[in-house]
Amino acid sequence: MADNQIKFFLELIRMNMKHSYALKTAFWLRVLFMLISNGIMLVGWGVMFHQFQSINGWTFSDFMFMTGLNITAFSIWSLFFRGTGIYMAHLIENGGLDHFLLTPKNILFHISCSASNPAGWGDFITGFCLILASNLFCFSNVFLVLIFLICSVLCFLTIGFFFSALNFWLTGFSDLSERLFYIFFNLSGYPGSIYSDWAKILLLTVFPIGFISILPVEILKTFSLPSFLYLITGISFLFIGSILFFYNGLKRYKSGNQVNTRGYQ
Amino acid sequence: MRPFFLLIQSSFKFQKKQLPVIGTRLVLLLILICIFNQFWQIVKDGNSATAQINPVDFIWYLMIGALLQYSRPEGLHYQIEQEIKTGNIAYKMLRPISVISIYFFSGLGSFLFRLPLLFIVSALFLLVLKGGELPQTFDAVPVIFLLLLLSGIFISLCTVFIGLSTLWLQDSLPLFWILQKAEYILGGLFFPITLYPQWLQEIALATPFGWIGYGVSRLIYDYTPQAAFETGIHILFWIIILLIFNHISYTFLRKRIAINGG
Repeated sequence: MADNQIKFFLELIRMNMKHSYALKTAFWLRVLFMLISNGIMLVGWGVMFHQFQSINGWTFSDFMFMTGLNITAFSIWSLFFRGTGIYMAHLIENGGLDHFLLTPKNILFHISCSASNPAGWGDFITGFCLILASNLFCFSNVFLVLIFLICSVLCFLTIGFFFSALNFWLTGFSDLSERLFYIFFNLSGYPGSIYSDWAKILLLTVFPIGFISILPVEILKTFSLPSFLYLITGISFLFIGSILFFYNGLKRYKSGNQVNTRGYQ
Repeated sequence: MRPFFLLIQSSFKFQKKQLPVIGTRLVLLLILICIFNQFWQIVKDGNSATAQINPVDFIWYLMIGALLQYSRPEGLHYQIEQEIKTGNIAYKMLRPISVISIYFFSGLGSFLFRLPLLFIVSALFLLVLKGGELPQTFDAVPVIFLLLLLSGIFISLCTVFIGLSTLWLQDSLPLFWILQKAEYILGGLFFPITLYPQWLQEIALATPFGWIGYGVSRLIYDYTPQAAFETGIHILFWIIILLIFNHISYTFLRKRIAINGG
């Protein structure tokens, strides 16, 4: 069963890659321009950290790690699970889930892996380099960093599932759900140290981006088992909750009776 | 001139239906203001450069700079890209008004609807946040607003140009990302560029972003008629440059359409 799902996942990735690479110039330009765009942003933050040295205890190296983790997780979401964003929201809104409901594969997994953005490679390269360049990363904590990365990807998936599934209840919400998703992504790009205590509580509960921008760096700087366990259990709880939320909404799904073929995004 | 006003008017009507979308942008703008308000509280002490700008001035500076980003015509570049890719742009070229003007005025209409709305709500929010305290040269708001309108013309032209870049790049999004980030950093949207090292200040002011961002926003705490005039002249200069660029793109577009038949 699991072997079958992995084969299916790899096949979807192959299809998405083929689709992305169909326009070669556009593919490479997206990757290159994304690298430049991330570079400009880093220069900006670099200048700020040069000016202020540290922001509430965070150095540029801490920020590099946080941004690296954030961008790498986003790129993994963007490359392999982009179906959870606007794509899924539009499918729900337009009654286009029939195709997925009729296949024997897991519907949530199938939709999530059905779209990809080639610019994600530019993000992936930047994020990976930033993690490696950060002082917080060393080979003894590779395993820990991998766990943080998985948690961060799950965090983006959770937010994606939640905002997409809201379209089962709210009509005409698809554009808004994409914007709300990007609000969360934007918020995860600021150093965790600038938030007040109240904001931190919010970001580690109802707006879970603190699992990307606050906890990983704090844990790597001073390891604390309760924080680590909170990260793992918190994100697992939210992730499972978002899946249940989706399936609960699916009961309200109404088909659009569309007769068409489905292409990959 | 009437067709242009009608284009702005129809864009206005469309924006009224976009209020929930504008609302989410407003929420993001207010969150951003709160984040940077907190940020400034943290960094303002112990740094000689930041000590020169008081927190009220800074937060108003940030709001005015961010207004440009949040009032920009959303999705216009993507719409142009899709019309170029599908060839539908050929139908628009048959109309008696230039296709560039159609895009530009609908973008400007969107900007003109959003700017006052976002300005009023975020200004009220700042007044509450800062206990009614006003920035040093609050009297300059009418001039700043005029310069923001001029910047809006630049932003709309720039968005049209990004859309037309599809002709060369096959995709408009990558160029949009770069220009957006350049607006943030070179426009001093996070911090006044006076906090940057000299070399970066020079680069920022050699680009249009330094003028539409920092140039306009700094007037809220450092207004002089000369500074406002200088900013206006620079924005006008970059508007002319963009008009030339868009004209070249349009000539190229016509040739392509003639060869490929739309």
